[in-house]
This record gives sequence, C-alpha cells and structure tokens, in this order.
Amino acid sequence: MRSSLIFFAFFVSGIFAGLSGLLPDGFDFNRFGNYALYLLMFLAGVSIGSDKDSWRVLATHNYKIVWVPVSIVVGTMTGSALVAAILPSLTLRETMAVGAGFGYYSLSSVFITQLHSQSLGVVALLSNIFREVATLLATPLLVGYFGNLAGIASGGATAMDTTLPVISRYSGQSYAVVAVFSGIVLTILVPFLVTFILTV
Amino acid sequence: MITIIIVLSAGVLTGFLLIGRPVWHRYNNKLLNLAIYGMLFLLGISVGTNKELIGNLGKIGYESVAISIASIAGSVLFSTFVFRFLFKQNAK
Repeated sequence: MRSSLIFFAFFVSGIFAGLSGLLPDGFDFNRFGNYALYLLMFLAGVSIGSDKDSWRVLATHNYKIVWVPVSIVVGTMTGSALVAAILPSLTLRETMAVGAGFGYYSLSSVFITQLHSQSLGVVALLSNIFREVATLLATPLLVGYFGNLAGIASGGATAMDTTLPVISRYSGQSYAVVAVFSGIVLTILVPFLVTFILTV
Repeated sequence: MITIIIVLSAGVLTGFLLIGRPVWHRYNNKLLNLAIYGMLFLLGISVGTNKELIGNLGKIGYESVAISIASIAGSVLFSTFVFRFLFKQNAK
C-alpha cells in the first residue's frame, strides 16, 4: 500500500506540475519514444528473471494450482470485454488491455501509454490501482460469499505482495502459497499480454 | 511487437543468469522503480498540460472503475468454479 501511494504521488505531482502552467502546453510524453519503453521492458524482464524465489514457487506445485491464474485470466478478460460492450467510448482491445494489468498498475500504465495513448494509460493506472484498493477492502466479504480463492482472484497480480496479508488473513495461511503462485504467474504475464493485446 | 517480446525475453534471460547475485537483483529493482517513478511523473505532466484530458478526468474515472469492477467480478466468478471443483473437495 505504501509503495502504491508513492507511485500515485509521482503521477499526481506530475499533474500539478503540468497544471501549474510553468511548462509549455501539449508536453509530449512520447518524445521519449520507444527507447524508454525498451529500457523499462528490459529492466522488468531482469526483475522477473532474477527472482529466485519466484522460480522456486513456480517449479514446486501440482497441476491444480495452475487453474487459479488461468481462471483469473479468463475471468478478467471476459469481464473487461463486457465493459467494451456496455461503454461505447472504449473498444474491446482497449478495455482488455487495461484489464490485462491485473492490478499491476505501475508497469501496465506505462506500457499502455507508450503502446497506445496517454488517456488509456491514465485509465490503466486508475483502474488497476482501484483493483488493488477494492481487493484490500472487499476480500473479507468476497471470501465469505465465494470461497477461499475469491481474494486471490480479485487481487490478480497484487496477490503476491500488496494484497497478500489480507488474503492470508481471510482465506487462511494455506492459501498464501496459492496467492503468491498466482500473483507471480500474472505479474510475469502482464507485459506480454498487454503488448499482445495492443499490437496484434 | 516482436521487438518488444524479444527485449522482454532477453531481460528475463539476463535476470535468470544473474540469479545468485542478489546485489544485482536489488539494483535492478531500484532502477526499475526509479524508471517507473520518472515515467509516471512525466505521464502526470502530460495529463496536466493536456486540457482535453483534464476535462475528461470524470469520464476516465468511471471507465476505470467499470473495468476494475468487471475484471474483479469475472475473476471471482471463474475462480469459484476452480475452488468448487478442485480445492473444496480436497479440504474434505
């Protein structure tokens, strides 16, 4: 939660810096071009690859646990696709790309800004932050109604870190491993899936 | 698209080769966070200087909430099937 506040604070202070009028109008984010994105992708890749604990968790589980992230991907894509059907202002590709952040707002918003547009990047930032906050607040309720996987499903990629405490408290310690596994799989998937959806 | 996937995969491979050097892992994560801080700040600036975007923040807000609620609902629904068929029986 603390780190999400820091990320959000950087974004908000950027808005105020922009609103202050000290900067020229129509500041172009894309001036930094693809190289900033490539650098970011490379760093994100290294971060994923060099996490020894992640590989260990991924390697030591039975087939059942794999269905957890699979169901979250299917559910998230179905849900966000429905939004495109209801809201005429967004296309299927756009809502699915935002959904494919799975709560990992920092990386997904920057990727989407670079690959698509600033406005969709902002939607991705807000939507994925909201997914994390909603999970923190609603997990007790969701677990009560839908069972022990509900908090993990709601948290998406955040289930491995920021929403893990609330998940393990309400679903039980034994589900913490499931949460970390599912969160890792989804975190790794975010950059690939967002890119795939926006460029295919 | 192919370039991006290659860059990402090269990163994952590089990271994999750096396992066992925790210092590198730590530095990389710091660098990644700094890069994201910087880019979110720049994204903020471009939003702040873009009057059309600022005027649309309300609309952007409810679109965002709609996507997150639909994503959560879909995920919870599908995970309930997995829970009922694979996890619950296990607990009995």
